[in-house]
Amino acid sequence: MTNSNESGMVPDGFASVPTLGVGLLYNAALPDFVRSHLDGFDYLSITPDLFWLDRGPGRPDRYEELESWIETLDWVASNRPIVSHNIGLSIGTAGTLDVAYLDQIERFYNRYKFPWHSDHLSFAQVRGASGNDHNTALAVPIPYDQEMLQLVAGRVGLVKEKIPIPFLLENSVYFVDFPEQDMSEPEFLNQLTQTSRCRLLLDLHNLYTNARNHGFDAFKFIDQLDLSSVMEIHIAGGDEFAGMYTDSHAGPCPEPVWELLDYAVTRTPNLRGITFEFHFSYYPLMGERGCRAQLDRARAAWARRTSGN
Amino acid sequence: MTMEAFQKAMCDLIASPDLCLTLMQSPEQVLDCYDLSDRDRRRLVEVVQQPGMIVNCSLYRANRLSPIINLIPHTCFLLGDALLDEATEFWKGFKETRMQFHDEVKLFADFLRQRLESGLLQVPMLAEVLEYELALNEFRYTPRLEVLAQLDLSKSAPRESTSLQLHPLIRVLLFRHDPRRVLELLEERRAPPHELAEGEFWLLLDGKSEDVEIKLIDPGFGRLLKSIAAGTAPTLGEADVELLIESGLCH
Repeated sequence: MTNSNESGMVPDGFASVPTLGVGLLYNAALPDFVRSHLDGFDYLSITPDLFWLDRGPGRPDRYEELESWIETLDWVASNRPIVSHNIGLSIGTAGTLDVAYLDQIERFYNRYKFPWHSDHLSFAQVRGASGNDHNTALAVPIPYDQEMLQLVAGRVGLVKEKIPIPFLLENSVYFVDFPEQDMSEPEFLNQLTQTSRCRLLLDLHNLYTNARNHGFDAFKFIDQLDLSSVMEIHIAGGDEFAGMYTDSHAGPCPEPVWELLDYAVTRTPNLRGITFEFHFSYYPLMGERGCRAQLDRARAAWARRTSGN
Repeated sequence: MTMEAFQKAMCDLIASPDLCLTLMQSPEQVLDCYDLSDRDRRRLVEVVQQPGMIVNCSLYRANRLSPIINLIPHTCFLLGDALLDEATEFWKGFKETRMQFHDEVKLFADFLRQRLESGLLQVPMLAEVLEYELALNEFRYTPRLEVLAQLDLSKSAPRESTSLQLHPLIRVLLFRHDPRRVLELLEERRAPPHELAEGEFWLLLDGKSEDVEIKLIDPGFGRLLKSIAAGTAPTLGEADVELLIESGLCH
């Protein structure tokens, strides 16, 4: 196993993390599929926020689980490992970190024993005119500045203190380029993984989307990353919207994403899983066979990964 | 402070194409409202001119529409072209969302009710279809097994004769048009004809099992159940009370 990065540091936590294989991000269209295609995926990735009602900060009964969703989750959890892909931490928010949310993730961790969990390198909460934090209704990208790096790295430490498993952050999609950033995206990601104990969830469709919209070479981007930090890869589809290509998770992965996957899997020595994700509304178009075909193709790519994983 | 101000400005711009236009035409008018560094100001001036800002603004609106379209699809279909105007008007007064689908739809429903009551919105059958979809959503977000277990527990306690209540997993809804025809057409994404005969139709929704049972009931019985739900029912005989409890409609 190759566990050293370019700086010669040995990343912590990899040895104890199981190598899972091919995963599927759960959505509302999938209850029947996961039961009938259990052999098609090695783990289930969940967005835990979809499994509960959140009545808002300060409420003693803030989180209420949704019975029918939990029932399916419990069934899958008895058959396959579960990893958590959170959407509510808002790690890049300049305001206050929602510690109660982190407590709720911890409760889910205690119940389902995720081998790792992840969130997005963006912010989704902002302080409103009322003085309360509210949702941005869009994952807003962060500028790659030193100040932001320190903020996020500090919060990764808080997350790690609370939940003692690897914590991954996902590279974001951005439709606008912030000028005068202190560093490039790969530089920011490398510094983040080197200065905090955070790992990387490399979303290849997000990378493809950014490369296509902003005209850069996605393969060179991968070359610039410290790939020893990558523990999970996401693949997905997208489509055109309002004049740009977006990460809408519109069904099957486009061919360039598969090419990026083939390229990346042979270069990521600590990869633990490849997750296919799609928006539930595309399931009728993609169908059961279409979904299975994506998983099977991901498995073929997984088989080509660096030996020693 | 400046990072927080920058994020707030960025989000305000994403939520308002009009604010983006104002910033393009008169930067100080917008930027002076926030405690921004010079670099933040230059960034915002530049990003609003990028094509990607249109995508951000459009995605914001699409994401805020998503819970509404997903949870009250027939209501949205009936609103038709008015949906976006109504949603935009709603968002003006409700900028600070938590993006919880359940809450977002309830608040939008309250907004629509006010618009209907004030006459600012006139869409035939909208009110009854809205209430129908809200009732289904309530079931979706109610911890059914927990509610049933609590009711089972309370059965052992002595019941006072005055405390008859509608079962928490039962809803009765009044339709002014035959709901079988209205809902059938909406399922097929077809607009119910305006000339559909009016009448008094009561729909009973039973959410005690996972698949909600829906049936048309006698108008007199519908009115009685509605009055029980509202706490305004006339005093019932012991036999009637027992019958309502035995049938699982009340407790």
